[in-house]
Amino acid sequence: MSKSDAQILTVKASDRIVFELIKGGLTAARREMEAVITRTSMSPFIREKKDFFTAILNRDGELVVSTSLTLAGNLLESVLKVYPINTMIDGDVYWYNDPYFTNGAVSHLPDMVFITPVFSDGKLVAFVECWGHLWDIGGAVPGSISPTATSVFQEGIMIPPVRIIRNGIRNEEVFRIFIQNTRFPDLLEGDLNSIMAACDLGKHRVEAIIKRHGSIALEQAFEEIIQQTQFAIESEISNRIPEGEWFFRDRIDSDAVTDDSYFIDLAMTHKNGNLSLDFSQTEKQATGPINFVMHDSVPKFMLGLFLTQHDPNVGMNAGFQRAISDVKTRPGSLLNPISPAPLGLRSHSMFRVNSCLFGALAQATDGKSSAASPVYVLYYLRGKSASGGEELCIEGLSVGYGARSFADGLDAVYYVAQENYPIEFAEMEFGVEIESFSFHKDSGGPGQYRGGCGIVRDVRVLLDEMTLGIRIDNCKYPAFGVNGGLSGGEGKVIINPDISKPVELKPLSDGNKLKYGDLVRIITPGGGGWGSPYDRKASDVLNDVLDGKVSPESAKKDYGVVLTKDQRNVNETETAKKRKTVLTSKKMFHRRDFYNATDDREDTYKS
Amino acid sequence: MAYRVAVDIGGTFTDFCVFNEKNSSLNTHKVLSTPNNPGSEIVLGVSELQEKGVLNPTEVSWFSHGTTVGINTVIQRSGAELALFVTSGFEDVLEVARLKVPDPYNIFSKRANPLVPRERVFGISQRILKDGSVDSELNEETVKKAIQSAKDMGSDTIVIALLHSYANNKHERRIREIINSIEPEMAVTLSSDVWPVIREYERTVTTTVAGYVQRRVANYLTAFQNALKSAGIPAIPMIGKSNGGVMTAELGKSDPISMLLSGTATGVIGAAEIAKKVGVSSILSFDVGGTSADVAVISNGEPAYSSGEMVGDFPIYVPTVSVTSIGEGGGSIAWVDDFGVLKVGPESAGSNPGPACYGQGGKRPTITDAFAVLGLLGEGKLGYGKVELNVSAARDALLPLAEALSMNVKKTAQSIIDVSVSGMFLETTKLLSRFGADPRSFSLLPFGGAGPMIGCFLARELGLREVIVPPTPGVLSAYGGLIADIRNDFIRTVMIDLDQNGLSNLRETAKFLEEEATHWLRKEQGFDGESKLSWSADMRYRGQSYEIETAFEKNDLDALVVDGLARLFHEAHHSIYEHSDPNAEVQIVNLRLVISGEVPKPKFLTHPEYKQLAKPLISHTIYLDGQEFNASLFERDKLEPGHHFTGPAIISQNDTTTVVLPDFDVKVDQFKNLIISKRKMRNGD
Repeated sequence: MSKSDAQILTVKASDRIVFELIKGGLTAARREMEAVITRTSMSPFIREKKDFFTAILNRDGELVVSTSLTLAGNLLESVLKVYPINTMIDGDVYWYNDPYFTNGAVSHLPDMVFITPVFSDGKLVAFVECWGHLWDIGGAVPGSISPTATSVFQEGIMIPPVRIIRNGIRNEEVFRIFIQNTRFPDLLEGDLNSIMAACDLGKHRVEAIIKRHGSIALEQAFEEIIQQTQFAIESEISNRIPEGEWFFRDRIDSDAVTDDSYFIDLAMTHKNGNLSLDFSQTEKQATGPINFVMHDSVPKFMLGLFLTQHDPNVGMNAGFQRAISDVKTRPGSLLNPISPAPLGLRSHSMFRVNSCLFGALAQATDGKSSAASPVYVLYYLRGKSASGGEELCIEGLSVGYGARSFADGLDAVYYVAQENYPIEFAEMEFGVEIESFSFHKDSGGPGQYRGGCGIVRDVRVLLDEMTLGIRIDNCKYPAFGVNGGLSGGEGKVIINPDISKPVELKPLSDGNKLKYGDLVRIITPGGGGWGSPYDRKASDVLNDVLDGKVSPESAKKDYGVVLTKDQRNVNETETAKKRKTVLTSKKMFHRRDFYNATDDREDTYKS
Repeated sequence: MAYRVAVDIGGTFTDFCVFNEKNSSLNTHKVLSTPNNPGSEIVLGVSELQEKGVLNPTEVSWFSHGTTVGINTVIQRSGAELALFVTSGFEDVLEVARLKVPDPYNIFSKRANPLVPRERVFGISQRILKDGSVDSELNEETVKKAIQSAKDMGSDTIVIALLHSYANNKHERRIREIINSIEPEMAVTLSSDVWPVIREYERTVTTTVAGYVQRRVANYLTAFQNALKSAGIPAIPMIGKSNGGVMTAELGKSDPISMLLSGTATGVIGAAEIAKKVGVSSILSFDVGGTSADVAVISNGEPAYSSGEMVGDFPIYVPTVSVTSIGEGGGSIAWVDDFGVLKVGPESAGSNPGPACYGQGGKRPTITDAFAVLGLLGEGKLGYGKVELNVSAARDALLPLAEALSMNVKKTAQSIIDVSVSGMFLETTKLLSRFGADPRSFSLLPFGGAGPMIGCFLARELGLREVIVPPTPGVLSAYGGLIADIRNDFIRTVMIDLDQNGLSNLRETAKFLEEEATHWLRKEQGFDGESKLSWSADMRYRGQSYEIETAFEKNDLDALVVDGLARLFHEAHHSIYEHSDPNAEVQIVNLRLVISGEVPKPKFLTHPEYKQLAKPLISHTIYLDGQEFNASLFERDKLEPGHHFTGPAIISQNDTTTVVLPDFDVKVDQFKNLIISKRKMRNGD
């Protein structure tokens, strides 16, 4: 019997039913908060891209139920530094966005956090919390985030923890100061109202649970929900990760401001039942905005979600934090930068933190982890409309995700499957015409399980002048493959590809000037593959060819699958012959060539 | 003419509702469905009803029918061999699917294989711009080549969905002409016919589903028409629509997309009609069968509508009565997971073998068995007298669970009910929060075989004050088909700013829509009764990426009042979002018009209400929340208008059993509905 079973069976069955009812009630409450935000937010970032987070916390600020986004540190701690618990009353709402002051509770400025305490008979028993990514909060450029930022002060207004609502009454002065600092006040006010309305609803729902079951049962349930997750992850760690130490290093193409590339370094140690994650050999903080104020919780959540992904009953909460003992970073490094290092593109580092975890896990588990995924791709088009107003088009574009040890990587996903604009809408609203939107053929890393494909989007500029900001990483260092799988295809940005002298832009850059009629071709990278492509079923390779995701050439070269002349069937004899000849590498990873983690760890960080 | 008939054909049973206009009586009937021989169940049912002496086929003036043939075609993937023509450069539109993944937080989730294999998607060289102007002309050579390839690959249907075709359908229509002239056998479906609305993925996937089901639906409807003919029924065959209305079966052959979800929609229409009669404005309809529970919101007699409802793996964007399906029904099986936690569903004992207490060989514990163990199903016969309640079989089925949970059997039964109601609560609150509605202002209207059994429990959990159980809860879906209006939706993308200029454009579009709608009702449907036009517009603040459908009166357009329309939108915005911005610019994306021809409703006799305490058949012991109660047991047939009694009580009838909790009182209204209300507490709770 595992530890988790033993623990749970000591709880009386009747209490278990109450527990299930409370857990269901909390889940319902959190989803309702989510529904309010989806239904009432105004800017596309929140509404269509679903870039927001809702959670219920215990009275110590530990996550109990939450959205499964790994970007949530300790959301309460910094509020308590300014407003001790005993100063809080029913009807308060607290607000902040400052990553440095909060040690990475949020990690870039556009994420605005709101927290509401919940009381029972005058005693504080819980918090509800929401954050959302706002459209524009001032700063150097419309949309606030720019690849060229060199200081956090260029990235918008910073809000330290403030009490925006006291006893139900909003602090209008603070609110007005903030609204004054955006280029799009209507959107901003709408979104802030929406997020605060969700907090209010969540508070009422938790109060209703207290009324029904009592605050003692609620707090017991909080603890048990956290423990369920904790025990689940502890047993996964002890069952799947042997004792030992593994190193992995992954790389970022550039920081946008300089051409320097950077690496993130992980030493994962499992010893005496404790798992620790040491990132302290990571490179120094960057000049450009790829710095990531990484809260301890982030790699814990990433590891926890990966190890429990097969079990939908395990929720993301503080149990992940309790189960993993130790996370180290070095002040002044990419993952623990010193203010005012710019932070707007911190996801470039965050994705590599995730791939370092996969890399370490692959070595610890004979390759049973996922291949790497490229970081998501965005572009910003800024221009003046005919009426002279600011035009801002921010579009998230998808990439292909890394293959898993049991399935292909997903094709064309933007972060947590956020939706893109319909083309017909993009053309209506921004001065562009979209000329094509299709899969990026051969970008999925070949493997027994194929990496996901990126996309190709052709955007024709229809305003006199526009500037383009573009964020593509994983061109110099494409997403690696695992256990025989090959790395994913790289991304690219080309201006006017169809003329005799097309211009290739830096994939991570801003301020690129465009004129009327220019065509921007954005090609996004694919995910790494898993397992030897020669082990992929020939019929699956054929289907990929018919689906336009793999070329017949790649089918032959990478997968050893020869097609018939009409390219509609597998030539079985040729394929069998071809597939006999290949030698697979014993090396665990692949990026343009096979390598071991130790091959990639010769240089030490520059400080 | 004397009879109005409605039929609901489900997977297992076909329900008939017959209204006799001469004496205002309602008769119900059930036969087994014959999915392999569509139409023959209708012929059989009609002849059985004739034998019973409650129907004369030659005197039928109305015959409507709800069906699942369209949705089953998609789920079973047994539709047409499709090819898809799109604007060149966008061949991956179906699979990229706006980057959506069905359940992004589930690692095993992936996009469904499109109904058209990618190799049969053909890029057509042409381009229309956002304002409907032609940027590059249709290259007819690429069209001809594509037609040839599609045919060579075995396609029998071509779906055409070009960019911005909602603004200009010229190229789509020209391609159809070319196909018709080269390959007259090839079926063709145009996105500008099916759903001429902005958002290319949504329009394309909807049109694809339409093309996919068209032939099968048409064949099925022909069989339906023939069945009526051979049964000697003179009424025009009508077919239920996803929007809760009906249309002629003949039209369904060319407009199959609007009838895919007709089965679930008509049940909600039946519930809405009951609500109207009772005079309750906000209703949650709660249709519980053996394997699932369907919940819908009805406000002011109108069901809530939505678009993007899933048909199998695919969203379709035509207006549909919004129904949320929960994977728990009366036959859902209770089990204990590896962590020792009690779970209910999604596995179900279905109708065969059914719950253990039906004594038909079911051995595993279901929700219904939990009710039986607690005494909540009363004693004696169930289901048209065909089933003898076997409580000890239910107890045996629960025993292994009770052991696993270290609880006694009654406590286990109570827990099964608590867990299943909690699951329903979770889904119901989620649904209500999508509409921004407070559950406490709603009445619950349970129907289906298991709805009235669980209804009171869900009402208690949601804090509802009232539960309304209609007279024939088991056949409410068929009943809905009796009273549904002839109804159609018209929509045009207008994409205008709300100012004087925009409004005059809007007026022109409105005129056009009104002509189109009137033509549909009067000419295509041949309807000459009372009709109603309902106008609305999908509006938003500039910059928002989502619209709110805002209802307005035609006068608001005719009088050219910008402020009036804007105010309606601000109000709608405020009621959903709890904030609005009267200074912000407003845009109108789509103009919508619903036309409905009002079908004469059956007039039921109302009964004078004599206020009198109903006399229970017997008193019967039940167990609830760990306590023992004496519940009154009633037969539904014996309850007359004006009867009242207090809970706990159990009311048996042929098609269901109603459970009334201790804190609720019951009154029988003039239509013989059971009105079950939360008893008022002295402390004002």
